[in-house]
Amino acid sequence: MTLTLEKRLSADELARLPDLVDDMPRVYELSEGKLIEMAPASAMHGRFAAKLTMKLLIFVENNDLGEVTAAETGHTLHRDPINGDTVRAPDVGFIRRQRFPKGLPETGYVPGAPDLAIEVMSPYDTANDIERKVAEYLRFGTRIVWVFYPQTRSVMIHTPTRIVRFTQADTLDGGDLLPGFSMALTDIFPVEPDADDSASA
Amino acid sequence: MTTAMIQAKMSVDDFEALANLPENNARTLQLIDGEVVEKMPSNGWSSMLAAFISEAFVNFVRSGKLGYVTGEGAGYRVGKDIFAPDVAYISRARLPRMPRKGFIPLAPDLAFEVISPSDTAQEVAEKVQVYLAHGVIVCVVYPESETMYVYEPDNRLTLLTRADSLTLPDLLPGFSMALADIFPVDDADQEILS
Repeated sequence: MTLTLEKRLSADELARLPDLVDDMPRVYELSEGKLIEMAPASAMHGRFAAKLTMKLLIFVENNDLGEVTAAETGHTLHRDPINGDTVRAPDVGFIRRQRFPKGLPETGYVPGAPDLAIEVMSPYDTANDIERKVAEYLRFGTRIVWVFYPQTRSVMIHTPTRIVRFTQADTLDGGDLLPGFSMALTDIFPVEPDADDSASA
Repeated sequence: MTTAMIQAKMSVDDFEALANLPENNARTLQLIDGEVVEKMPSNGWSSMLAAFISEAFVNFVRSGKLGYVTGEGAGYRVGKDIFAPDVAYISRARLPRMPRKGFIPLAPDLAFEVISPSDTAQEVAEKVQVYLAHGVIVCVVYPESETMYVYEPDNRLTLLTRADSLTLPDLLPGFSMALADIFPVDDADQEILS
């Protein structure tokens, strides 16, 4: 759902919005100053995101590569006093150690775009919204975006110069960003396909 | 865009009988994973873009007698599904004669899906997956961002923007469609449409 406000918001104003409105928890993203409300994730989505977070976190910590953020963490992709700021909350984010040698700031959102952003699609995410979100990540400095589609057991890997589509038989690697990282998609997608259409041409 | 109407998985034959009922004459029904899914009328803008895409293909395909181009609503059998792509092309080599009745019994060679605001990311991904499994090149068009994702069955994927042209060297050698021609500039709409 997208709320339309007349005034474009800044990242600081977003941070001051109440977490509870009418006793309902609210999480927002900001796309060029425009508020985007995020509904609580489904059980499947949350479980999936947790698994990805764990796999990435273990690798990143073991190799001391940087920081991993969990779902709902705000990343200030871009500040623009005229057109409004852009704050996105990837399901999982990774930020290279070099950017924050002393760790992430104690308060506020993560400054800048994550180096790796992971998004897991829910049944209600629209095609337009994810297309826009991926474009924003890449425009504002994210080097790799992984978009997981649990229903089709596929992953789209977006970088500024190319896009690749992976399916269940493939193994995801971390490229230059996470050298040595690898994750077989059979490990992450549920084992039993629910009557998937796998007929050949 | 979609409304599921029945629970049990339906066969293509049963679906064809249902779709041919007089009361369903004016509806665009699709069979997706055994479910009947109705395609609702699309917004004017998306449909206009689809018409521009058709225009580029119709001229090229007809002059070379290469095959057939269909507009919104044509049903194609794609494996166990019946899809109604917004624009599609099927070669004469695969379909010597366009049937006058019923669905096209094969998958198209090329399908365009123009995204509407209500399309979910997973619906689109699922459709793309089924098309790819049946050898179809799929072009997903995002009118809002003026981009086109070209998925090819070998998992090649290309992102085209306004400055690019779509070419299909293996399928339609010599064909080229500038994306600037299918995404009209707002101010010039009247000029383009008139």
